[in-house]
Amino acid sequence: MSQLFSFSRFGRLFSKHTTEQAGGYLLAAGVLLGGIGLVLGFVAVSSSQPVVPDIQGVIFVMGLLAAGAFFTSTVFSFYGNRKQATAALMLPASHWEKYLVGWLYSVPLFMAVYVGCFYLIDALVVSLDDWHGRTPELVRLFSNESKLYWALVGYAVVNAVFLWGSIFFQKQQFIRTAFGLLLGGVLVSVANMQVVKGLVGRKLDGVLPFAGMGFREGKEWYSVNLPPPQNSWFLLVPVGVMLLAWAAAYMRVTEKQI
Amino acid sequence: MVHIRNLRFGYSRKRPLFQHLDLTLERGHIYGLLGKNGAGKSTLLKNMVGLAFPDGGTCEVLGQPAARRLPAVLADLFFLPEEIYVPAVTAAKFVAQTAGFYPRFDHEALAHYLAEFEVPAQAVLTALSFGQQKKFMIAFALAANTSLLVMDEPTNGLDIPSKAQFRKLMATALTEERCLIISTHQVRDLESLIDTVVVLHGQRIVLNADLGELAERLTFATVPEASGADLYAEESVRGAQVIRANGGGVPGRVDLELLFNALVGEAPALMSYLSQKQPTHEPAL
Repeated sequence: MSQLFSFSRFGRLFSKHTTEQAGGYLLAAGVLLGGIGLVLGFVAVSSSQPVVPDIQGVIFVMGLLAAGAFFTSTVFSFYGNRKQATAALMLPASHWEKYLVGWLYSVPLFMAVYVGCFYLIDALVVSLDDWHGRTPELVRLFSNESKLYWALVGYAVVNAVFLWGSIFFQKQQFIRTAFGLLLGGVLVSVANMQVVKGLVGRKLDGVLPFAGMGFREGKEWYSVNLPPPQNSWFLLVPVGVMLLAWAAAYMRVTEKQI
Repeated sequence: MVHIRNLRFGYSRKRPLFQHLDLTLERGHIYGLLGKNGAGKSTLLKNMVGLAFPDGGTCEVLGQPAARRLPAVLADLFFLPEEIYVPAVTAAKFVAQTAGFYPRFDHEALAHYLAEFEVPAQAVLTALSFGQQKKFMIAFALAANTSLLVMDEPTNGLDIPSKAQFRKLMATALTEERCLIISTHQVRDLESLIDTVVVLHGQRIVLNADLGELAERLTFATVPEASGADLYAEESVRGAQVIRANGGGVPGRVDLELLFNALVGEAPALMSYLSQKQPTHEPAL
């Protein structure tokens, strides 16, 4: 039997994890339903306008990122507890299988549950809302117009960082990862600003990491960017961060000591 | 079964817990690992099962580096830590979900052990008392039928009748194919159970000896007054408790507590005597 992956062993591990965590996950799904209902309901009640697809989309994205980051922070948090970590690490399954169970729950399964919960509540709120004679309309996840599906890609990046945080930190995984992310963002922005200033040798009006820059000369304002065909290269940065963070989380499982 | 060579480990680089530690454990034995509080008994067991990684040297279990935690090794190894974790499921559900990971798991034996310990199979594990949880996990560990069973302070939290039950079950669980390791600082709990004593002191193993052979070489007695020929002596309310060379060769009872006190008290005469002709694997000082 392979020491890296075996379907029967993985199935057993997945089943054990599901059985032991089912209560907590059901409770979390209930909180998610309630949270989405509260936000959508509040927006519908407090505004005289109907909850149009654009607003639904914003709530979808904010909720996905916030709830997803929080949930992901709990996925490997048990490794911070000596007793639970010992039980988990001593279970006869490979590190890869143990990692994969957490990944599956926090990425595809969370996405499926979140999308299901959101549309269930959204359909309810939209049907009860006053559309002033217009046809009630739900936001479309896979429409080329709203491109809401990009939120799922964005969530995958956020997931990777918080998944790493959930095993890297011993406690308060969500707060510590969020703080680290914020601090890292500020440091990278400041360092990037200084480096670009040094390279260009002039005062800059706007420069963000992995983006173009803007400066003023006389009364003219200039924006320097990559040519449009190469501009999409910047998309590789979050994808790279995502892959690196997932790999780092896996390595952390293999290196975990008590 | 377990081969540790030249192990170096420490939670801080400046203060190593083990240095040049060698230890070999074989099948067919129940080892008692003794050491003072803070000597590193739990840490040594963690190195053995792959929960802590050596800073230097090697630690192999079942022919593989313990730190790799390979599924094949883990399926033939059970580690029962001092502080156990149980999920919020019934004992029966836990068994249904976990027993499959251990290819030689014996369900009949588990039912027998649980009956002996009087642990209800339908109870939710988190609702049981700590002692009951521990007894359940001991029963599960024994029923897993792994070649290597490592227990860290297993009798902590057990009441007096349960400790007797534990000793009885452990004795019946030993086969020629199995190696059982029990760590404790309560020496009395291991008497009449272990066949080999391992003492951890001063960053290394100072004794790894078969109790039968020790009984042939040493005599433990309480005498009115110690003499200069004694290998070790300590005062007690009943007189002097002494360890002497067993000149007659008739094996007596090994007083584990006295032997342990002598070894951690670094009794030079006893150390010298044992090092002249170490009964088993590791050289004593």
